[in-house]
This record gives sequence, structure tokens and C-alpha cells, in this order.
Amino acid sequence: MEKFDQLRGEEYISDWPQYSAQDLRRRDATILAARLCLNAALTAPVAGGVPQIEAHLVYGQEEQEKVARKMEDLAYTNDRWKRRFLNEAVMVRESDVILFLGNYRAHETPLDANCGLCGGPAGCSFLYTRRDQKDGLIDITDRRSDTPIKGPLCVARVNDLGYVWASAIWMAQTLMVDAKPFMSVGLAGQQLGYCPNSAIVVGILMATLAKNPYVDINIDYHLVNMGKMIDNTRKNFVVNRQTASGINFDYQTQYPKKKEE
Amino acid sequence: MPRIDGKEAAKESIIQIAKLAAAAAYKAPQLTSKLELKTEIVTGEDQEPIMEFYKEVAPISPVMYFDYETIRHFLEKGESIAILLLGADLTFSELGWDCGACGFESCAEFNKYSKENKGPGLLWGGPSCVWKTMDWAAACDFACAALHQYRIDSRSMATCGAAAAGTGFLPGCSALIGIPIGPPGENIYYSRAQNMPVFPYEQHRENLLRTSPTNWMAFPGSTKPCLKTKDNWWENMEYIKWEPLSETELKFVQETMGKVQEVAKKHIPKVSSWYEDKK
Repeated sequence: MEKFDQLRGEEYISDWPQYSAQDLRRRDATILAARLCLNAALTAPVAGGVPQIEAHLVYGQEEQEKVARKMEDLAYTNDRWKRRFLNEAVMVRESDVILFLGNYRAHETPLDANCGLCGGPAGCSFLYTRRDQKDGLIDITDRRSDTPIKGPLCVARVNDLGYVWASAIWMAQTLMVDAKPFMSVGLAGQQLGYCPNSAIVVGILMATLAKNPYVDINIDYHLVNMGKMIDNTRKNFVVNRQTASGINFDYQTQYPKKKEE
Repeated sequence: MPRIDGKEAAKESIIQIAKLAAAAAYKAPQLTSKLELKTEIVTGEDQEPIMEFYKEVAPISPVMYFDYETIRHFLEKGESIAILLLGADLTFSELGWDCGACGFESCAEFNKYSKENKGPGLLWGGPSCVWKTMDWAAACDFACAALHQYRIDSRSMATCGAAAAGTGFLPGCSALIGIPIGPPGENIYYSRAQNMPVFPYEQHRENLLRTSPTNWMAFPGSTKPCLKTKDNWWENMEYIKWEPLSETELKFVQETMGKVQEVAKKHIPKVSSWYEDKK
């Protein structure tokens, strides 16, 4: 009985101010949802049911800021993804939790079925002739790479990763939690060392807010967003208090009169 | 109010649910926003080319045989199966991300290689942009998740996709997966009772020995350990050998593939004409 006598309490929950106790209680539920999404990801159908997925849950202001900044660094390495990465870094800051999902077999232990996805008629020889290997055992210790991801990868394994993150998203949608998968978030997470054994990582952002933070994005979103708006309000209003009415007055003894008074 | 037989109702629901699964596939999120997904639901006698392809290739592919036996059994019993096909052309990248995951330094180099070297492997075609591949997988995943939520059994089968591609369904797709949907029942694509008679105990045992020899391996200190293939394994010991396929085996593979090509030739014109008529 004692245990249930203690099962009582009051929890105030609100999304504002950000990272207040009431906001953290709200975020806690999104993190719980993320764990359930992770379950859905881990039970997703993959070729042969072979275990090949690892995951990282990342949440907290500092942790998310680190990921957002990595994406901003990456933004300036490729013109084609610059705008996308900058926009999506904002979404990372606005999210409650990041779920990283990676495939740790795609580069080292392929499906070996000559399926044709990676190289077509070349079958598995496409991958094996482009990787260090001995007797079909791929050596991944040379991790140097001129490209963000060191390819080629077993595309059948990558395909399985697609099933995996889509199952996580399906669960999020079922739980009415806003979620979206990102290449940009995954790449940044991978470079920060999340999913450390994976050849390729996808980052899923999740949030439980009044407004889905991953849609209805305005122009120059990295310059024009809620965070910037609020900061500009903080920056200007202190000045407005002093200058907008054109003259300061003693609030204890004075108050400006309307014209007709 | 009319009275409806429950079994009949369940049977009729298959096609409706297949349509909803196709809709779910289009709802799937994309990493690239560039995937052009193609879908089709194949029903009734239009499934014949797929089944015939399955049947011809089965002698050289146990997986094909297994799936063929499963579907054949349902169809012969008059059960209702809808085959949902999901395909896409993954052999071109307009992304310009130059991520390197495909093995090329840039999307441009990937496209160049692809133009000159693309074609089919054993199950699918390639080469593939890995990000588009995942978007295609997500579409398949959403279709299956939708089916799961309606509590209708299905199984996404590369074999079915390959059989469909081989007989001309969804032309232009480098990758094609087939999802047999229904008939209503519990775990029908997992507990395949009908497959029991065609796979006797000895076959199971032999397959296990062949695929997992370490489990039955005797002390390997000699570097040539025997396999414990029977209760008194120490008598007339048996060993693993590896060698290329024999000439007879190779000839059988070639002959079978010849028959498979005949099936393809036979069906492609009619299957393809449907797409022409639609234009």
C-alpha cells in the first residue's frame, strides 16, 4: 500500500519559459515518446532480421546547441546544402529531443547477396573492389575520407536504415508527436561521434509544441525565427522604455495625460 | 440491413486496405524530397506473370521457392491476395550533396558512372543514391505499417519485387519491392504451415549444417576439424570442402535462367501494354 500512498502529486506543465521546470516536465514526455519511437525503430523489418542498428538520444540546451553549431559549420562546406543546413540548425534548437539512428554494418559487413543496389550488374564486386579487404573481410580502420561519408556502402543495409527511421517516424505520428528525419542532423551527429560505429546516420528531430517546428518555415529562417525575434525584442525594448515616449517621467508621482484631459 | 458473411467481408477488405497502404506510402517522409515513387496494385489473374516467374526461378533459389510455395498455396485455395508494388529509379542523383556514401566523390561522378554501368543485379538494379534509397524504403515501411495497423498480414518481399520487375511491371524503376497483402489470418507469412510438406526434417538439418557449420564443428586443433553430422560422428568423419560449382550445377543454373528469360519474354509485352494504354 505504501508505494501507492506516495503515488500522488501535482505537475505544472507549460512550454514557456523555455527550459523552466514546467517546460522540462513537458520535454520529459517527448523524450519518453522518443524512447518508444526508438523501440519501433529497433523492431522495424530489416533484410534477414539481422541486427545492424545503433541509436543515440540527445536532449538538453547545450547538447542541442552543439549539434546545431556543427550543422552550421557543415553548411559552409557545400553551397547545395547551405540554406537547408542553416534552416535545419534552427529546428534543432527548437526541438525537444534528437533521435540518431545509424547502421553499423553498411560499410563493414554487407548483405553479400549480389542484390545489385550499390552497383547494378557488378553486384557485390562494386563495393568490395572499392574498399580495403582481405578474403571478403572489410578493413575499416583507415577512416580517412575526402567526402563527408566514406563510401561505397552496402545499399541493402542503407535501405534497411530507411525502414528503421521510417518506423520511428510512424510511431511518432501515432503518438501525435511532431517528428521529421534529416540528413543534415544525421551528418552533424555522426561527425560529433554519435552512433560511433555507424557508416551512415539519420537524425530525427522531435517536439511537442503548439506549432510543428518543422513546417511553415519563412525566408532566411536562420535570421528570422522565434529565437531571433525574442532576442531582438529584448535588445530593443529596454531602449524603447527609455526613448519611445520621448521623455522620461517619475512613475511614482507622474503619468502622461491624454490630450483632452 | 443485409447480412454479410464475415470471411467474405474480410476477403473483400484486402483490396481496400491495399489502396490505403498505397496512400500511406505517399505520406512517408523523405530526406531528399526528390523521390518519384511509383506504385501499383496487382490482383487476380494479373498476378500470373509474377507467379510463373517465381516458379521458374525457384529451382535455383530456395528463397524464391519458399515465397512461391506460400503465395501459390493461398491462391490455389481461392484466398484473396493483393500484391502492392513499390518502385523508384534510384540511379540518378540531382541532390548535389556530394556526400560520398555511394562511393563517388560527387553526385556528378556518380551520375556519370551510373549512365554507363547501370543495370540489374540479382534482385534489384543499381547503382543507387543512398539517400533516395532510404526514401524509397520509408515509403515501403509506411505501407507495411499501415497494413499492420489494419491488422492485415503482409510481407515485403524482394523476391516478389524481382519477379514483378522481371516480367515488366513498373518499367523504369531500378528498385522494386512487392508486398503480398492478405489473406486474413494470423502470422500467415511467418508460420507458413503449407510449406511443411515440401521441406522435410532432413532438408532443415542439411540447410543448418551448411549455413552454420561452426555449431557442429569438432575440436579444430587439427585445423581440419570434422563436422559432427550424426550421433556417432567420430566414425567415418565428415569434413567441409569448398569449391566452385560443378559443371553440372553451373549448367543447371544456366538452363534455369534460360527458362526464366522465356517467361519474361512471354509476359513483358502484355504487362507493358497496360502502361502504354494508360498514356
